[in-house]
Amino acid sequence: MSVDPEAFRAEVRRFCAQQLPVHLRHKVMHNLTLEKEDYLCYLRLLHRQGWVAGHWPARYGGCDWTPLQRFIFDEETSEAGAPWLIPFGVIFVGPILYTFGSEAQKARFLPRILSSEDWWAQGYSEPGAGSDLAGLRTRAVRDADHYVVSGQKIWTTYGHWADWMFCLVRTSEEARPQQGISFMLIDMKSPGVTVRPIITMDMCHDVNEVFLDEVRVPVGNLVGEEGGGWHYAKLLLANERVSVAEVGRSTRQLRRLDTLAAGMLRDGKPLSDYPPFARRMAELKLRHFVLQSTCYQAVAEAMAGTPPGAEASLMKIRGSELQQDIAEAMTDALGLAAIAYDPADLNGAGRAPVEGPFGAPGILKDHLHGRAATIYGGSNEIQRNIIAKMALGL
Amino acid sequence: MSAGTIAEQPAGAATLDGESLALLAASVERYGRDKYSFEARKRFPGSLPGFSLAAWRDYADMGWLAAHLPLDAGGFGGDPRAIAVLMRYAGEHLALEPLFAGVVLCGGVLAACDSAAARERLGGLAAGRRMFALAHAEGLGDGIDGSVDAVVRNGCLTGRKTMVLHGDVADELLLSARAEGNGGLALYALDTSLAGVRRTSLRLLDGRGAASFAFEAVPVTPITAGEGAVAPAGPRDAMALLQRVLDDARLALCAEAHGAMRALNRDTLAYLKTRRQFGRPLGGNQVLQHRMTELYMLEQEAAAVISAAQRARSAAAQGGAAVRDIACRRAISGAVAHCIHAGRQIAHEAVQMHGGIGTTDELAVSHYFKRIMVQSRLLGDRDAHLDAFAAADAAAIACDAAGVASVPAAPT
Repeated sequence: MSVDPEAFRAEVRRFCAQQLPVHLRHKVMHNLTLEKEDYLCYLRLLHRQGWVAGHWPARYGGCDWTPLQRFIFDEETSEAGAPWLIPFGVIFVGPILYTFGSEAQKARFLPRILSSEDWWAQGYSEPGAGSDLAGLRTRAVRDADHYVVSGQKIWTTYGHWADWMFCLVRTSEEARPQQGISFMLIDMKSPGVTVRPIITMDMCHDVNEVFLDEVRVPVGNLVGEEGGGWHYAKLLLANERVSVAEVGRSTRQLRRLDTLAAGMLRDGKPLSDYPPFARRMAELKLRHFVLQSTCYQAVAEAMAGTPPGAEASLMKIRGSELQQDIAEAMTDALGLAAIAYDPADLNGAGRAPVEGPFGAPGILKDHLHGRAATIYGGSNEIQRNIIAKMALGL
Repeated sequence: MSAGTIAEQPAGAATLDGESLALLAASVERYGRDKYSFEARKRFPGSLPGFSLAAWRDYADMGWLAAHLPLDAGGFGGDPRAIAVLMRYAGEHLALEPLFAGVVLCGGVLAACDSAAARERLGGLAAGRRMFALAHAEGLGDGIDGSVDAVVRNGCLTGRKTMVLHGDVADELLLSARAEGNGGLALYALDTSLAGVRRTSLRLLDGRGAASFAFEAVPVTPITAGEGAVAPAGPRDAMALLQRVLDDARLALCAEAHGAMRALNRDTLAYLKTRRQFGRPLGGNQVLQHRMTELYMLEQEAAAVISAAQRARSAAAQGGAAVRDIACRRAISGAVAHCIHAGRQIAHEAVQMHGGIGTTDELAVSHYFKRIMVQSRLLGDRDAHLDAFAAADAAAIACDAAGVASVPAAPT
């Protein structure tokens, strides 16, 4: 590992400054709506650079990045206003495929993940199985060289754009509920797949319900062993120990908060000079500093080869709560402008609201949308259970 | 009487007896249950005027819009407890109609302005014939006073007003503006259909409508007593009058928040009892029991602090000691500061404890969340009220070493 981290940081920074399209940066900085084409534009840009899956092993098309390099990459790209790196292909399913998949699956899917030819969605949660994922009921029944899959998935982010969905399905009712779960790849064009939008409180459509009605899935789309799905999914999540903190995103939002608070007036003076608000910003920045320090600590441990413990849960809890509190402070900074909201202002290059700064609609969207951050990916209550169990033995 | 005091009560104000108040509460509850369910309400925000005109007519028929008429004219005499009943309904059922903008703010202003022009308008409001909105704020700041630059010259108004709640549908605005002559604050009525009115409508987070206005020499009608450009009572009294109405309105907003808190806690509790996870109801987890307990306490405290502020308000309205004004300021700003904190925490926790489904547009929870976001910002944010509370507290200590002003008025 002879990479100079600061040289790498400079390289990523240069890439962002020179190659990140202005219109994408504009949308991200103002929390405007990104279209599928926007995300693809960024993914293809990274692919050309060879960085779309830098943390993958080189033999599968990655760069063998160290945990530190990956952290620096995430931090720098988020700060620079790069779009969210859609994780379903490169972070979630890709590593499961190259770790547990067959040679045929690797050859078929990995190159198309790198090139973004396939858009992937995640099919884990169900209406009765969110935090209690082991309670999932979508059933896959073997029928000759197919599985017949029936059930319902929910909160499927960008499922309406997806070509493929990786799913946890129940293949056996015996033994512990976790042991009957298998990991399966479903072609979204299969007969019996129906995607229905869910409108969230920000009045936007990002997540979906996916109905599976006797969908025939070739047995070749089972990943690893039947009944191994739970183990694969869990192993992968533990490896995502730092990225869940989204610290670079918070860095970016705190900078925007600084600018906003300097521009909004309170009793005729900049809001940033109003002591209660100045103190609130200081608290947020302190929490950000603490989170960042914790991230570097976890990265150092990963570099040293320490097996992952409960640190991913700590990062998830602190990162999501910080994100929400920054968003709320930004909303409060808008004053009376924070009561108006028209999601149409978020389309295209954005539109200035009737009152308040140009970024106001995006700030409100971020605040509303961000309420889910402490719920998705294993709610913060579940993350605290994990820490209690894994770190404290309670 | 110095500017900004809250010790004046409109002449002839009388309050409802206990029985009438209970009857009102029962009929409001029945209406909400039968006619204003969340499912029925879903149809209203999408189409103009963004609320139910049928419900508005019902409110008029039931006498709700006449809340500020005297008792002998079929009203509630502006009784803050009756208004709290209506506003609790608005919060609990997420009512989209201009109950706050029309009945509380404009009804309050019109009842307090002792003029023929005001009385005539109050009649139109009570009958549901005309829609009114109050236009006071000119910026986006969260201070509780707000500076006014709109000015009246030769009977015509020039200036701007921002984020006027229900200004999108108002036939007439009641506005604060600098009067001719001494430049003191006075109150006027303005017909929104006149030339020179530029109205920009906007949608609020909670589905209600609002508008920002620019005015270029638009004829206005003075509504403060005396009806002259400079009222005999003096335009400075208009500021005191307006502050008094705004303070009543703050208590009304607290009642609205309390209604939303009650509904949210009811929904969250029901969810904790029915939703099963890991083989048992969510509410079987002690950590969630404690969090739900906290929300319950916040709601109970909100009800108590609203009653305390209502009593302080009544005590101050009887006039007399300055110490009562200070106690009233302290109690009202204290109530607002508590209710904003409580509403926000209850809304956050309701979404969190419902999990993913709590973030959807389909469920009422997210609508309460957004309603609370809007209503808690309308008349001064939490920091502003905490500042006002602290200032009143310091004043109480200064003027009353025995601490009389800092003790909540006892219930009678």
